[in-house]
Amino acid sequence: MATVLVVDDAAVDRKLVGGLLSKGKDLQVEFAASGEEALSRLAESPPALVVTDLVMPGMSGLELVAQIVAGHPGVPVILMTGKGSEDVAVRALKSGAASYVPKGVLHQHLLNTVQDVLAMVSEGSSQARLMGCLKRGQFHFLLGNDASLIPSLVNHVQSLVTSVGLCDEASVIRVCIALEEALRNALFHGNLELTSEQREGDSEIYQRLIDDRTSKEPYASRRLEVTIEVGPTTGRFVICDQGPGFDPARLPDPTDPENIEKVSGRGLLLMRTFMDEVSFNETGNRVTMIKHCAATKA
Amino acid sequence: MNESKYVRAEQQGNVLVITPLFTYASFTEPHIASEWNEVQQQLDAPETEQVIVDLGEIPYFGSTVLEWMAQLWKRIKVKGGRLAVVRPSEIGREVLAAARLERLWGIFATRDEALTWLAKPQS
Repeated sequence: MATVLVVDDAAVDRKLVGGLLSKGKDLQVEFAASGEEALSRLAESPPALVVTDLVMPGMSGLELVAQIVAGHPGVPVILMTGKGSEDVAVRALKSGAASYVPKGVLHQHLLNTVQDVLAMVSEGSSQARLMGCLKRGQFHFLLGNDASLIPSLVNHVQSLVTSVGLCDEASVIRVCIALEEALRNALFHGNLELTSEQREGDSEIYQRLIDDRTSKEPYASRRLEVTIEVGPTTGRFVICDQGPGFDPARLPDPTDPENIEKVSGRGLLLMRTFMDEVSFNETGNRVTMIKHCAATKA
Repeated sequence: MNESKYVRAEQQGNVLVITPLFTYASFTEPHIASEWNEVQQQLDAPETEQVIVDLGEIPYFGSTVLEWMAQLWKRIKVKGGRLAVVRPSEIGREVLAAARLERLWGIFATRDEALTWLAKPQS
């Protein structure tokens, strides 16, 4: 039985919405007359879902969405909007509302929307439970020179590292920063052979160079090989590009006052700061980064 | 104030407050480049003498944002101005400290602190 909390300052509307939802299978409906009351109910016992009016005295529906997203991110919120409040509905969705239903079509759409959102939450929850059972992950990616895939790969690793419990939340972000730096280095400096000096120049010219090399040989057919092995005690991340390589020892130290205004070297610095071990092969086109579990290090 | 997807810019007196809304996409990428060009124009306008970069909207960032801030700093330095960074996350502070950039820029928890610092004459 899923509990739905209906929030509306008007008793008539609470009754109307309660009546619509009571037709749903396995739904238990509870009520709150204000955003403030809804939040105290959430603090006592979070419902499976909140349906709230947009316009209420005191805390508005939009403010309630923001508070629930911040304090109870697992509880989806559906907003009931009046005529002419489409812009607010869009803002509500951007700030984390799961959906909205115009008040004029509540009869037709509210129950279906509630059931759809609950089904999605249930599926997401099963997925989260499954990932919670993951103990070790090994992946091997072969990527083209498409920078737009990097955030997706990093998100995947973030989920993997979190699931296996390699490190705490802050360290997961540190791992992701280091990984993103390594991937961007391998793609732009390795496969596309772009230099830091070129990056410091005119941004439009630099972008044209990226576009040009992405479609021109020998750069176009180069690939990035990414191997990730993550377990509860160690994460190992190997990124290999097909460029000519470089000598990391020749990079200027970006923390040296003489170099502090230069662009180059900060990516490698962050990799070394946030990973426990960073090493390159002889040619400098394969980097291996290792992160140990904090408990293992101690 | 301009309301943009990747970079927000607000003029507060002689200070331009720039808020990046991206963490890794480079400002050379076409979708960001046009917004970046608008910010550059505001940066070069005579009324802008100082810059604040507000990092409060991004939970973390890497060298891309650092490089972007370095470019802002170089441009404002030419005009005799300074750059202050506000509201970095805990990990953001780690990134700034690792790159030793706190030597060059003021780093503050709030905009008010940064505005007070920028209003003082340079030592």
